[in-house]
Amino acid sequence: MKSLALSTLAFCLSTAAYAGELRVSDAYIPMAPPEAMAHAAYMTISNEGTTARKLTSVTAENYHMAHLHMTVEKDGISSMASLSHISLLPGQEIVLMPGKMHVMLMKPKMALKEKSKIYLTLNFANGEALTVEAIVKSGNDVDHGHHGHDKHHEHDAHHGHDDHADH
Amino acid sequence: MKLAPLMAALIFTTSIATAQVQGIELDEPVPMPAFLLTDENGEEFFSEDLEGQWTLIMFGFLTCPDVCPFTLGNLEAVIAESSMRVLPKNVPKVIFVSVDPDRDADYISNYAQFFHPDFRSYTGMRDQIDLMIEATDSFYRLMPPDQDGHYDVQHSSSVAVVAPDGTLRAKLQPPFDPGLTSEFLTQLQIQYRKGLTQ
Repeated sequence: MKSLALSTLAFCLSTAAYAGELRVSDAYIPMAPPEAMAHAAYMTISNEGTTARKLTSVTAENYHMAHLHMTVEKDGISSMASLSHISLLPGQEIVLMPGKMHVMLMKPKMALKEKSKIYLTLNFANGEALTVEAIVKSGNDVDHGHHGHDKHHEHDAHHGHDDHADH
Repeated sequence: MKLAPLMAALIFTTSIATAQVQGIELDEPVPMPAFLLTDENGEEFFSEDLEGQWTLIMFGFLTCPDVCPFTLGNLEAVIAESSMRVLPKNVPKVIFVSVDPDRDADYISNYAQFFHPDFRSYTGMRDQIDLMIEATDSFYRLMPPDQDGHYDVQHSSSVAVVAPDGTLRAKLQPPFDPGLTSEFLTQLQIQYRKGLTQ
């Protein structure tokens, strides 16, 4: 019984991390070809507190650099915009997802291994740091943006009206 | 009473799905120019290699963390879907072209194969890449490097569709929904075959 409780606890720890009133869940890094010199990390960040928070930087184990980025699609041209920070209003949930906001992970020190865990530290403007485990997922486990639409819309409450249609 | 909002929701989501444009067919086919792409093993891809099968051409670069792997992952799903809809000979071949040969030329060959064993990736001399960019009405720009020497690359997100006669027929657009994109390609192939028999 004890070991079951322990493993349940371990499971919870690996899928969500808390720091005060911030919650990070579903952090993952899609498996990438060994030739890829930049990877991306995605996750859901919730501010469950009553004060606004500001994510200012990320440091990543196994990478030389990490930047907050946004893929911008304009007139059929895809480019990346560097984000100085990501703001989280009280009660707000931000989803980093493919084709949108992401953490760009530069120059991996080692090749990615499927199902391995990589520690990312999220640094906030108030000096707080939150370390999360990102799971390396294979292509088949990664949502390429066409299966989990409903799920995204639930998270995406601040993004217009199409989420209402799902409920 | 409960049914009404559900129906409304269904109609609404359906209209979103059909409103998504997965591709644009060109009014007139555009012949592709003579070009030559290569990889680090000396494998070559000539414009003549476009003939005899459908080809999807995507532009990108290897230091692209988000949108290139995302698009290739989606194209893998499109090809899986097409494999169930059309004859094997009509399943499009996917070519990834790096517009960043300075950084990518030494590692290009395995990149696209990571997403599907039949995908191929190449790069080439700048003028050869530019020929393809121009012919497909695409775009790329190498951005100024930062203090670490890292630079970003802006590039077209659309995917060029080339018919077995070597002419550009259409452009696929994000979000590359597998079902809808595959349906668009199937219709394009039907139109193409009709054109051949006329």
